[in-house]
Amino acid sequence: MLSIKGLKIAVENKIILHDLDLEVGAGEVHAIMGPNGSGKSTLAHVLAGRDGYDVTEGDIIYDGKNLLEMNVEQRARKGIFLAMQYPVELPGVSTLSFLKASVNAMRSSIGEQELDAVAFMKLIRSKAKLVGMDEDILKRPINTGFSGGEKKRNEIFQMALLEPRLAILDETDSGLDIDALRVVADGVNSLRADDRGMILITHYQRLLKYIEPDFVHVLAGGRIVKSGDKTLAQELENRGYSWLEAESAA
Amino acid sequence: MSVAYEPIRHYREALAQGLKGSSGYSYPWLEKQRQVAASRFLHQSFPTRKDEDWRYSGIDRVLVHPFLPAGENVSTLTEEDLRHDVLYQLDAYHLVLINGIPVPALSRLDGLPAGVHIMGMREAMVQFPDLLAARLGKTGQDETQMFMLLNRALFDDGCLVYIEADCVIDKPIVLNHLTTGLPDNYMFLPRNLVVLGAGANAALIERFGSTGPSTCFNIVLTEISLEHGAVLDHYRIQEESRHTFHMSRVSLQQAARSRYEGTSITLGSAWSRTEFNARFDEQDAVCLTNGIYVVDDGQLMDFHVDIEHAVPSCVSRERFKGILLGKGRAVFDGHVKVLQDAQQTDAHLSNTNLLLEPGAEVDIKPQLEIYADDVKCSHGTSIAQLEPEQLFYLQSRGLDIKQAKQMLCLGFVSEVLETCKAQVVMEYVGSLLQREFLKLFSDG
Ligand SMILES: Nc1ncnc2c1ncn2[C@@H]1O[C@H](COP(=O)(O)OP(=O)(O)OP(=O)(O)O)[C@@H](O)[C@H]1O
Ligand SMILES: [Mg+2]
Repeated sequence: MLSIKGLKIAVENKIILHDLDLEVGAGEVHAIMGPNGSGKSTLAHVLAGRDGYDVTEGDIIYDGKNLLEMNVEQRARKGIFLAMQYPVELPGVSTLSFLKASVNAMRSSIGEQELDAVAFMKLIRSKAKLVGMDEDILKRPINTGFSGGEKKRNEIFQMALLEPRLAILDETDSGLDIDALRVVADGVNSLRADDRGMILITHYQRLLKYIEPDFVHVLAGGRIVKSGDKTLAQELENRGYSWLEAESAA
Repeated sequence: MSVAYEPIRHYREALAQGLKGSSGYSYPWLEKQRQVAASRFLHQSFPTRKDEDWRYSGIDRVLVHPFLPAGENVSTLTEEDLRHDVLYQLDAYHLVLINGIPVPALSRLDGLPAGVHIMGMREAMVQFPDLLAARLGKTGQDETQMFMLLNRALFDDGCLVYIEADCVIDKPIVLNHLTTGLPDNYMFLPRNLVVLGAGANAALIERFGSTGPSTCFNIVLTEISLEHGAVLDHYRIQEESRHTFHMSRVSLQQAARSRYEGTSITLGSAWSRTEFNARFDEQDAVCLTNGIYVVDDGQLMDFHVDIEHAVPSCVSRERFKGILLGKGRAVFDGHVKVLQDAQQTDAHLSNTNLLLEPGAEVDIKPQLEIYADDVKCSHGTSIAQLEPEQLFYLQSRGLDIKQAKQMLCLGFVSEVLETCKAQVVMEYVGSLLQREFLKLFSDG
């Protein structure tokens, strides 16, 4: 469903990703690990369509279409969801009106009727329950004054609400307590389906105990230096990244 | 007709003509007030950009129009025409003024509680001559402002809201000022007086709207006087057409322990200026004024706030939030004066602006003039742009750029919106803003 070929990305003339290849098939879960600053979030942002990145070479094909030609909301409506590493606070912006606009934007883009207030609240309640989201928090402005963990949980809640086809989770597990981690994992696992793909960016093997990836990739120095199955994650946990960096430099 | 149009000559003639017209009521004190105002007007000239108070808000674009007082005119509006006016449908006491003149047929004032009086100014001249003699023209300082002098000299009607001591009104009062159905170049000069007796409590909505595209000029003077312990929630909603010019003054005077909470929503007009003046006459009074303004391409919105703390222990807060688009221009001039005797004054002034486009401009002039030493006074102002990171967040959840901007703008003003104590007003203003943003963002 997602095919990245020879991707080269620069930010303010600094090259962050070189010659990156990645194939994500429907039904697959890919984990991407790698040292700080290696470009994991950059890749996630480029997939979601955020401004400020120059794609100087390469292609991204999503469901047979050129992803790079779509703007942010078109990608979202086509099922791409990015759970952000640092969800931004939006003071004053009502969480519920935002969620309603979001759900309805997705629905009308596929020709479905918009939800009315009653149906929408019903949906909200069921998903909030699913990810253990405190409903009171939904009465506050988006992410405003949320704790780090609450922000992450809110991202998973939105993922559950929007049921994306390709979910990209950028360090959603960082800063979560054990219970919250399990909730995130349950949320992801319940979305796992034959027609959905997932990219989990993480530093920790513990998430991968709950969500078993089909593939693990290591991003270092702007390219994928190693790919393997879930045992690679364990190896990284034991040995760190330096042996890989040395290997790829050789 | 070889003489070129010269604004000051035109307005002097208009004044002289207007003074001859009979208003149907006359009192020596009133004639004197009119004469004083008229003679000042005739001896002064219009301000220019050299006048500090008018530096950022040129009036040339107002004065090019040869406005004339509308005088008597018959309203052609019917209740049917107002059927879609959401505000008119509110469960409230409605006084509707068309082109500055109250229209009883459209007003709904049945069942007013005892001690509550809402009526047109002409009727008030007959029913409450003593109250008017004692109160009208007694708030604020000596008048020198040219447009207000015109109003004071020529006003013919307007409204009186008088709530006797200890009376509480069960529903909000709506003074619905609509302009409609006239040829271009008329001006309207309504004069309003609001008096709350000791311990009285009311919510008042002044609304300014247009039902047609005629070019006209509204010059409105509203005087408010709150007696001991009176509480007024005052909403002003200005949503006139882009063909309208608007000049209004609110002049507030507060006695001990009175509390004023005002919220101004300014969206309309080609050119608008509001002067809000408050004076504390006695201790322990509170004056809170909040405002939201949205200024689009081709509009100028000017807000002048003047608060005078002359006595100790009063609180004043001004919080205004502005959103500017296109080449919109706004002026915010906030002046708080704390006189020597006004110890324990607590005054704070804030003005924040969101500039959506690089061509928009806002001139902010906060001034704290403090002569007392034991006071808490501060001000804060800022100009910001929309955060790309915030837009990205919303768009990444499927909202298009227009919806995303609309949400961020609503979020920006929500702090002020939430201060509307009357739920119905908050809802009305919320949906008004929502519609306005949607309209503005779909044009560009
Ligand atoms: N706007 C920017 N301007 C300049 N450099 C940037 C910008 N955005 C990212 N970078 C740089 O790109 C590199 C990759 O950053 P990125 O956030 O993708 O790393 P990451 O792999 O997600 O790291 P972490 O594990 O710490 O989250 C870093 O060196 C970062 O400083
Ligand atoms: Mg990162």
